[in-house]
Amino acid sequence: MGLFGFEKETLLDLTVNAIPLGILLFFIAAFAVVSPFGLDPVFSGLQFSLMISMFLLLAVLTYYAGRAVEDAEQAEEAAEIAESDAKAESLEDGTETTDDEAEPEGDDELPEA
Amino acid sequence: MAVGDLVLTGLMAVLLVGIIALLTRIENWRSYTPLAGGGTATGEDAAVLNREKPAGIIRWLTTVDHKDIGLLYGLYGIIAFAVGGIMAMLIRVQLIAPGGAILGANAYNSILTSHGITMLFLFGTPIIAAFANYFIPLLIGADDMAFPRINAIAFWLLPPAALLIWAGFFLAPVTENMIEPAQTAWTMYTPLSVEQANPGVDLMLLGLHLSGVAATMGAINFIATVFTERGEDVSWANLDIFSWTILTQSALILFAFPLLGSAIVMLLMDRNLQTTFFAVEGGGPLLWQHLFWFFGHPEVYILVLPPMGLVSLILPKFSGRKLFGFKFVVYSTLAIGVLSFGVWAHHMFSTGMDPRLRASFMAVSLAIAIPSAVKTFNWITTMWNGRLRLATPMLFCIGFVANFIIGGVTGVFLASIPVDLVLHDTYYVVGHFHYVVMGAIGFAVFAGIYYWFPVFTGRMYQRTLGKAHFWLSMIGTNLTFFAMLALGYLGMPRRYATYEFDGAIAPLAQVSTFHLLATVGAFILLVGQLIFVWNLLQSWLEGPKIEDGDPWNLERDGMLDKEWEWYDRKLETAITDGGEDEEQSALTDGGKPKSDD
Amino acid sequence: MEEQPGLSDQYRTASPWPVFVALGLVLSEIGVFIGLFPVAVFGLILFGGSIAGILTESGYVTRPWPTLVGVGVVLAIIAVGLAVAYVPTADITVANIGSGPVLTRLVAVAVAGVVMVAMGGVGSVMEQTKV
Repeated sequence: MGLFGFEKETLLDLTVNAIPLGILLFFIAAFAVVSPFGLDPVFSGLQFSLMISMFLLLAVLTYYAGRAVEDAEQAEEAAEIAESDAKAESLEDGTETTDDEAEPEGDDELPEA
Repeated sequence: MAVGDLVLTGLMAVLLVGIIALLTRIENWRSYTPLAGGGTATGEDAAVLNREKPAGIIRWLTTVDHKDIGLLYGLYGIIAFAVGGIMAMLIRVQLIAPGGAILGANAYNSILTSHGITMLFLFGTPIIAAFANYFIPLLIGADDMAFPRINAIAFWLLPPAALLIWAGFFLAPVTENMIEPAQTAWTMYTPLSVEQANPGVDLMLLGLHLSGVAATMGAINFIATVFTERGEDVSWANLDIFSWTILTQSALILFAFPLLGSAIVMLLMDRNLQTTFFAVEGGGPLLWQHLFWFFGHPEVYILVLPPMGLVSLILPKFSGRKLFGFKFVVYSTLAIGVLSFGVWAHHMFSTGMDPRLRASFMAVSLAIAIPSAVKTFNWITTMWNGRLRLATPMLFCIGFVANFIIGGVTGVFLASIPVDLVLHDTYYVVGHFHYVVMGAIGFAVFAGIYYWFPVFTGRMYQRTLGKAHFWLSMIGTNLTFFAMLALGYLGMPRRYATYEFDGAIAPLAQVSTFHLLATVGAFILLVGQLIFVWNLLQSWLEGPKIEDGDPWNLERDGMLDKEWEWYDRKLETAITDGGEDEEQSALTDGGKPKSDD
Repeated sequence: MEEQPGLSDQYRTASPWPVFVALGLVLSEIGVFIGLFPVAVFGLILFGGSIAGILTESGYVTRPWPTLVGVGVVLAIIAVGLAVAYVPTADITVANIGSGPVLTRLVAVAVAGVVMVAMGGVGSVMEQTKV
């Protein structure tokens, strides 16, 4: 686990943004390898800075959004555990079994989902 | 001129004195008690006040209640939708015949311009604000918006903005065509928009600027509300999907609309003060296109993200299943928000930009297709094996998904440079974005109106009329805009008032046929919308009253959201103590809504 | 008169000011950008006055008059500053008001600012002498 300090479920959720990031990465690499219009300091610079800045911005926002959501979830879990120490064991089981679901946050935490 | 100035001065003086007189009549500013902490007077100590709001027209003019302002936004949006829709009908009737059926070229251009601006700035943005104002505080368990007065100011900027944008139509007959409606198209490309001497363009630009100010104020308010006013039980982990999309949309507005405002001020200065921002000897005409689309492309997502949120909220309710991959939708919304700022020049592929730059914009445009597609799959998967109930809101949600797929896929083709160079400025583009703005955004708005109709009015709409509205809209939309896609393939260019071209260049007979089909579709749409307005009005006045706070039977699936719980409490308190009173009992779960009318 | 509570005291979710803030902003924009002198002056006065009113009502300031004076001073400074920066000194004469596109607009803003300062001053003096 622990890639960027995320739990496995959160990482699974974040894969949705890995796809556009991957597409951007593909084009950055492709344009770096194949440049049919030649390289020009101004335009190639703009070309790459546009794609790279989008890549970085999306990566950073995804990271912080994931962090905010995960922290909130952990805070909620901690509150629940504190509420009922006796049931702490079963709660952990519960989170474990939801690993393979696309929506691991559990039902009761998401009135919306 | 001097007489005119004198009259104007007198008029303004009378207006100001009248306002002061009115204010002293209804307001006593000597009685203001300083509040510690300032801001809203909605604290606990408000119990000394006996009632929520005054009666009659004064209530609506002075309200700072988010629900009232939401209703005002809704009324405003529907009026603008009607105006823009009538303009669209005129455009479609004109294009029945290759030589133009009813309008001159100038009138056509005016109506084309106003149709676009009305639908995007006066219908699209405000109708979303209507839902957001009404429901964001309820959904996140807040008392009201973070800044209720700024909320009211933002709304009241809009009616004057609409009057300014349409000013040319009112003033042309009075001033003997000295002030005409703007004929710049909604994109206001320079040098055309600088060179048109008509003062109506200035008025339109001012109106647009004001609507931008209003949208920005609203966005700041929503961001502050979602960040600071959430109830104790609402965290980032269980924030509902509509609030997420409004939050993202507000962030986009915050970065995009001030830029539009600045660009408009630069354009106004070019027109009136002889500056050269967009002149060839200054920044160049292309500068306008870059500035405009740096605003304009995020604007597309400003318009579509909240409707996506509405569908993500409503569709699961009638599928009997929770939204599949809730977090996928949230993160992909954020991804769209970021990437939307890196795609603007895909509107400008044919301007002769450097091919390397074009390539990078194509790359980002293709990347942004993914998050939208993810949502589509989520909606479809949510319905999969669900217990579908085809109530009118659900029908509109399904219509949204269907139309959005066509609108979205045609967009992916346009994002590719070689395809775009062929289809640029044809009806294909018009068909593409109308599939999204009418087929998707419009449908989501209808879904929202029907879904929350009981909350707005305390009554239920007429189901048969609702279904008729859906089917007419669905058929009309697809007939009209699919014909436009075909017209684009035939090479029919956008924006023209007539199309009497040589049959050797393009197949005129087929082009006329598709134009005719599009117009037939538009009439079907018109009939549908007339039914919609009738349904809205009649059901509001005499529809069957709602008895409990769960008209959609959501309790069974455990999907009763906070706004329905609030509504249920409102119904109960209204029965016990006649409503109106501030004091409420039994507020258990952190939400502390105010009861009103 | 003093005993009669105002609208925004009487009702929790009502305030008369937002409409007039919006109207003031609209009129000032039209006046300044289209170059209609009276509309610009009255619009700016309405805008400044409503800002003073709404800030007082919502409790950010205790009395409206200093805010009115403040808005007036800011507007006057902006107008004078722009005039000094962008209009050739030789052109700044009373006779030229109404001819130059920039100068006329700046004078309108400055006049509105001065009127607001005067209104704020008079209001504050009258209030102090009364009580």
